[in-house]
Amino acid sequence: MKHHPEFSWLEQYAAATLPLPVALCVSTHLSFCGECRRQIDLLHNLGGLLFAQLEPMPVADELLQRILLRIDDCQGETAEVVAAGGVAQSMNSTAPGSENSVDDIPQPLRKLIGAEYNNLKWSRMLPSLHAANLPAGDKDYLVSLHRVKPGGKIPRHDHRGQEFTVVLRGSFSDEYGIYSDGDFMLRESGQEHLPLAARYEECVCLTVQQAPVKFTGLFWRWLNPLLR
Amino acid sequence: MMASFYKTVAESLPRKVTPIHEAKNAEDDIWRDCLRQVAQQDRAAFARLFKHFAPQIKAFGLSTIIPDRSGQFADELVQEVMVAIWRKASSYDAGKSAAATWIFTIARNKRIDLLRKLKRHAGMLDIDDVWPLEDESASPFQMLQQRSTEQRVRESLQSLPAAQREAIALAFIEGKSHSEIAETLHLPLGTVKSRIRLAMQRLQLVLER
Repeated sequence: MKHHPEFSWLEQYAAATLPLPVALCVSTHLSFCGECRRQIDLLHNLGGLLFAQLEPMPVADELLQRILLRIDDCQGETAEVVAAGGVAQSMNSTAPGSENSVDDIPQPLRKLIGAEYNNLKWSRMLPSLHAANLPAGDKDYLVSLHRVKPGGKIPRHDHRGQEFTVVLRGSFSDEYGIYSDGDFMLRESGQEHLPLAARYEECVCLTVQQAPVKFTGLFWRWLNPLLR
Repeated sequence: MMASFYKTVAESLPRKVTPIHEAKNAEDDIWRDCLRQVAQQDRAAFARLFKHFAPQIKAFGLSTIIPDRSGQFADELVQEVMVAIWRKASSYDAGKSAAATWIFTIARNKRIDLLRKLKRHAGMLDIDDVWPLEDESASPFQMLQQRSTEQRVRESLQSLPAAQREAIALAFIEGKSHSEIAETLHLPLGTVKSRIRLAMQRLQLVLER
């Protein structure tokens, strides 16, 4: 993996001050990247120390009684622990092309995607590009998956806001670099680019856009309304 | 004369620093063990944990900016976090993080959860999916590293310039975004970003790539 979120994104992720869709991108990258998880652990450490140094505020004893009652009520629900193992499993998901089996969806996206990419409602944006919106429930961001055919080209476009991309499978390149599994990429508004999928395999990406994308090539102008 | 001079130097010099940190580490160990007992459904241990951490969680909750009509927010947060601790204690990895660190991450997640409920956010995303509490467990080497990191960060936090400490506390404790911090401190956004960055470098929290 070559492309990581800048430190500042990791810091804001650890403090949980990022908008949820952006945090989702960081989290998806983390499920591929041990190095960045290490960085997050360090930042959590800091959070823990600051937390431990807070001036304690008095708490009524009866609150403990109420909590114990709640624990009694839901004694059966200790199954949560199992779910916590989910991340570790998704970590080895770097092997590309597990086509015939169920897709190896990164843990943070499982609830939004389900078991397979094919389950989503894909719409054809361009001959080589399909997109499916994910119901992340945030009106300021468009959260979607993009699927580019092998060798597919996305016309040169600009962004009105920030655009975050995390590669889930396959690879693509643009004038800034080559991106493959787990790579994290941020394009600021005004940063035009022309992405191109690798020739031998399909590329699937998570994309979070702050505002609608606009295509800058004359020929593609008419496509803009479609891409919202 | 000489002898008594040496004695006073020996007495006055080295004491100060080390015992405090040793004491801090020992205290950490108490809570690590306590959480292990809670994982065994030990209610007495849970009550001890409550006595120590509930006031911290409450302080954490009180530092939050919340929408109106939610005077009970901090108490609710204490409840949510303590119940989660009880349920998840068996997934706590004492080698990986101090009890306070683990509880901080739970409180951080539960706070977002509660705030979203207050704002009636309906999304399919679970906070714990986006900010998972536990990933892989620590190797013995990582455990050792972890201990020395905790100590180092704790020490360097003491000597952090007040303005830098304030900025990181606004982010990690009050949950403010960079632009909210800029607003609070009446500073340009760029200054806030570089102040936080400086603090992190000073605390040696930025990993080399």
